[in-house]
Amino acid sequence: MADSERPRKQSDHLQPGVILINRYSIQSVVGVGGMGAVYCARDLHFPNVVKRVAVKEMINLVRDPVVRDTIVRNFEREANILATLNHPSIPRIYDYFSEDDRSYLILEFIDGKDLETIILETQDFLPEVQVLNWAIELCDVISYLHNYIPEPIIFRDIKPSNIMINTHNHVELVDFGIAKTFQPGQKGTMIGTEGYSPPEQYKGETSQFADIYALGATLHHLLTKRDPRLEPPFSFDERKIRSINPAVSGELEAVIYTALCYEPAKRYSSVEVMKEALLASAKKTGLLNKLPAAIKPLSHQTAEISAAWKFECEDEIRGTPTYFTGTIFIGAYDNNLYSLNATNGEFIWKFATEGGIVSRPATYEGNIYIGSEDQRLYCINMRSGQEIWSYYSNGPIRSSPFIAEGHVFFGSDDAYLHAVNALSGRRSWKVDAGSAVRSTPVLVEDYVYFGTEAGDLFCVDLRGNVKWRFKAKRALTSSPVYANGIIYISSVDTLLYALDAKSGYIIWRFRMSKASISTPFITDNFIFTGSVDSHIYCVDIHSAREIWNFATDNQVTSSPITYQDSVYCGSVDGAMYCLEFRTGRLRWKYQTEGPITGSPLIANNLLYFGSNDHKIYAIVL
Amino acid sequence: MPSFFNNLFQKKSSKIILPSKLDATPELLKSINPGIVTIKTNEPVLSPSPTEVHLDVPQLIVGIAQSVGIQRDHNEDSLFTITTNLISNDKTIKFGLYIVADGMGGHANGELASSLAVKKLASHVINTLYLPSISTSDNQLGISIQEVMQAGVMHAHQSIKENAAGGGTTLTAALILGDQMTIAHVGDSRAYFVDPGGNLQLLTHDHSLVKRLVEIGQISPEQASTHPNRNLLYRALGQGEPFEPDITSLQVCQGCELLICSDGLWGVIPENDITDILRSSSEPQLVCQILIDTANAAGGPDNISVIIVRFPK
Repeated sequence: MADSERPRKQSDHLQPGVILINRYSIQSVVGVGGMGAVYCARDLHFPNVVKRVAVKEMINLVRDPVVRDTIVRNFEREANILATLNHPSIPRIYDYFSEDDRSYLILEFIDGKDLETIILETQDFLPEVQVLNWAIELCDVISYLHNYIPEPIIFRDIKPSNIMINTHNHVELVDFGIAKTFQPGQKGTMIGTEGYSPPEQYKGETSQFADIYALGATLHHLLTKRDPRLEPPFSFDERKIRSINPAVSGELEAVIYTALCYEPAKRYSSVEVMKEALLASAKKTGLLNKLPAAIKPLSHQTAEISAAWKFECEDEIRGTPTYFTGTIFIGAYDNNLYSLNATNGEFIWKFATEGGIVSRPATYEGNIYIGSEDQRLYCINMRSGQEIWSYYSNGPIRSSPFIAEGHVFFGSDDAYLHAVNALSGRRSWKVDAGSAVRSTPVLVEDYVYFGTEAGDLFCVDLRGNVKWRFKAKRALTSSPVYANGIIYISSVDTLLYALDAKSGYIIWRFRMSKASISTPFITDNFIFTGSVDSHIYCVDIHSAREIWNFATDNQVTSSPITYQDSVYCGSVDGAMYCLEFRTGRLRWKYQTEGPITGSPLIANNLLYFGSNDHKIYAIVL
Repeated sequence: MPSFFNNLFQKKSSKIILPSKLDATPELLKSINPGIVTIKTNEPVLSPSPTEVHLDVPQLIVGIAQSVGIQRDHNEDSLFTITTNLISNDKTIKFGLYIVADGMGGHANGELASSLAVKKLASHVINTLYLPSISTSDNQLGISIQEVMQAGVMHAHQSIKENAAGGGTTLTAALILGDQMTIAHVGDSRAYFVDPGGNLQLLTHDHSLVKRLVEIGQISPEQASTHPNRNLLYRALGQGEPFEPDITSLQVCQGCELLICSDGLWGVIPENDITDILRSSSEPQLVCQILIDTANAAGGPDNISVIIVRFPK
């Protein structure tokens, strides 16, 4: 046997800088448990951004193969339970794997604190309205578990240290190590946390009533700051909440004691009923209308969103900025292309065209390329702002330049796609598209894809020959995006299309309520887009199922982008939105004084975007 | 622009059709296609690879096998394959539809259910997707592949409810169109991706009660394999409302294989053994037969259906 194995202590934590399976770079230890540690790590699959994940480690030091296997199985059980769950208050699982004697779960990183820490760090008692707010969210997530199909899941281990409060003051239920689906009448082994567990759990019986009891015990602890693990079991009755914390209402106390009844049948019949009772108590005590207001930032990390700098142009900014080596380039309807210092917004130069600029600049070999409504494409020296050449099309240029193979590809309202040598400005060819081309072309594996205002999506080869053409019912103003053999594009006909890049066959369609001219954005297995119906959508890229949508107050023509675990997107309502990537929940919004029609850009932890209020903003993330 | 040339050169070399015994050294490529090295310009040139005219039409290679098994006296499995090409403008696109359906033994009309499922789905897909491609009128398919599969499965579901009352069936279908594969799935038949090393990647999710028990840690995979209710499904075609199949699309990889089978195969032969058999031969038909023989040698407790589709390199 492998007795040459290096003996390893449980305190043998992974050091910062260790990289697991070539992907997760350990950054710090977040917590230490009985079987291993929890780390914060960086996902190296996202080299250009810092995507943090939580790495939950289990060190298996047991030599007995049977026990060893049981431990690994329990670990995988947690992974499998988590993988099937989909709720905003349950962290998402990304991966799990084993290396040597350690197994790892890769989870969504929850930025926040657990309730146990919060209780310890709070000098006074926590306000009733705050506890009530968490309690209602806990009821919601427990209700989700208890109503899980095909079988209810009993969490079995509800306690303050298993409840995280994220920086937006929402609850997250963590540690599904012993969550267990419920089979009525089955005798299970005794697992639970002393102090929070109901009497029947010690008899090996577990049902949803156990979670109701444990929630009651947790709320008791939150309001009294008396740790039940330090008291005799089942002694909450001897520590009346209001005798310890008189500020708590009799109504809420009564709800908690109903949850803490020894007889399961005397507790609330379901966690939904308990939630109703909590709401009813809040109504009586007048806290109900304070509930939304009670959602106050808990920690300094939800600091106010503020602009690092703003820069004002002379007319609307409808387009999208480009970043290159410390400089922001953006066009405006005052006909100028601006070059600004990305760090402080200082003006470097501007280049005057003779028409409004809506397209996004592109960079190549020290030059900047921009199309203008004066019908010309300009090649400008990035440093000096001097024109190198310009190229005339026969219509306003609203499509953004795409540079590949030494060529600039762009569309024009003259109904052609142009391919122009990037250095000389000479045309190699142009393709008759039949109608205006405002969509930005993309080149993938020797083929160029672009949409037209008549609703055609063209696939042309590098000689400009049309390989296939797909026709949507209305205009394709947004730009195509490519991933894994598929071209994705949104249409004014209200559909988001996934088309086979080789043949143009529709793999799936996703329907929105109104037109879309927002270019989709892909991250992991999700695709994000916006619609004139004022929503931002998140769709599963394989099954075309909607994951979530978020309603803004006006049209969304801006294209979403993702960064770390957030989605950023502007709206014609004038706000830049930051949403939780997985749930679509609002993190913050930043109001400008005009519609935001262009798309945001992120570089060096700053979010850049223009608004029709004539300003370009840089916001610190 | 030397980097551009390298780029161009590599792209071309990868597409040149060479006699298989020759090694594609750069010198050899020059001798075969001197045109590549005679370009003298220093400016980027936009052109597709000239070798494209030599491209053949790589075809899907399919094996199928079926057995009633040792312990059953009739076959409730149905399978269907069609492998062809779509003709579209100047190119041909690989087209294949592969279906396995396993009628539910506990229901009176299991046999009828599985054959209805296969017929309804196959005819819907062929009528909607394939026949228009060989008709002379140019009418673009207005809906998506996933919608075609979804509608086909719903037709099958309704048909079973109407014509085989009480019957139910699994259904695992893969539609291959070019490099994209769309899978529609209900029940506990399975589709696997097989990589060139013979490793299996399960693409479907068993709608099996016992599988759920394993997933949530209630029982071990070993216990599951002998569990008395291991054939109980929580979702099956012809059973229950509301009803919805799992539908997903993914890109196929060259040199890989698709394996679709009923539980008469995967429930009887351990995955490791399936992997070994897949590695033993590159002939899909032979592999299918060995798989069936192995399942029967292991007792053949159930009907066995296997389809293997090999994607060309």
